[in-house]
Amino acid sequence: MGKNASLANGVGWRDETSEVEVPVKLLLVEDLPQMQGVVLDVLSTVGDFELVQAVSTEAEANLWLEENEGKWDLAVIDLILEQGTGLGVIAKARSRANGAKVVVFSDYATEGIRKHCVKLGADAAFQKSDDLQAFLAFCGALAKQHPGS
Amino acid sequence: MHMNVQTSAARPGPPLYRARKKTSEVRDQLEVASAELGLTNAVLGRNLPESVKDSSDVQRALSQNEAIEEKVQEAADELQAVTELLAEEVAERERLEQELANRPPS
Repeated sequence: MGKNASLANGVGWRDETSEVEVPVKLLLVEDLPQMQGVVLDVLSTVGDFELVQAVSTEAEANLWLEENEGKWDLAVIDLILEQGTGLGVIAKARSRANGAKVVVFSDYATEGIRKHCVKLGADAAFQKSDDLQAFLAFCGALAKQHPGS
Repeated sequence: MHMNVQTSAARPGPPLYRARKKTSEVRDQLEVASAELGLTNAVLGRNLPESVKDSSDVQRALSQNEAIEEKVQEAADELQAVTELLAEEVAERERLEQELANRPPS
């Protein structure tokens, strides 16, 4: 496990000889607790993910990102939040990413909104209803590049 | 006189640097605002009942919202161009300052 792992597209794992499983550290920006559970459940089917923080508002997300630079590998961001939107979080996450990935997972990731998301710095944007498999493929590929995999 | 020029040249021009930083920040805010208008439109478009969407006032409001989204996006793009011009100006200023600093005293 992990013997042949290498730096994965800038995703921040550098110990090529580590035998220790290190899960993908996940920041989840999602306002619905039920949906938080669903996202974690489906992600667990494609790799080893550790939830480091779940937040439900734009302000909380941006504050957490400011105070926790380098402590996450993947941010999964919903667009409609309890307060604010995920769009402001994308820009903040991108500016603090240090090689981590920023992904939008929302009911409203339509073609036009995707363009906005990518322009703001998202690596990808997926629609919850239609793109679940693509979302899992993206996250699964990320987890597979991980030294612990 | 020469001393003054040297002192001035050794320091970056704060207003120009601040202008570049500020335009960049405002551009980022406009980019988010444009995206949020787009998101608002998407939410309204999906969740408003057809009977409500059929109202000409609501249709006009939705169209107006789309137009505003585009305008804000255009403003963000134009501000990006201004930011790039300011960056060029800063680079040119730094080049001139370097030249001035390297010039032997007359």
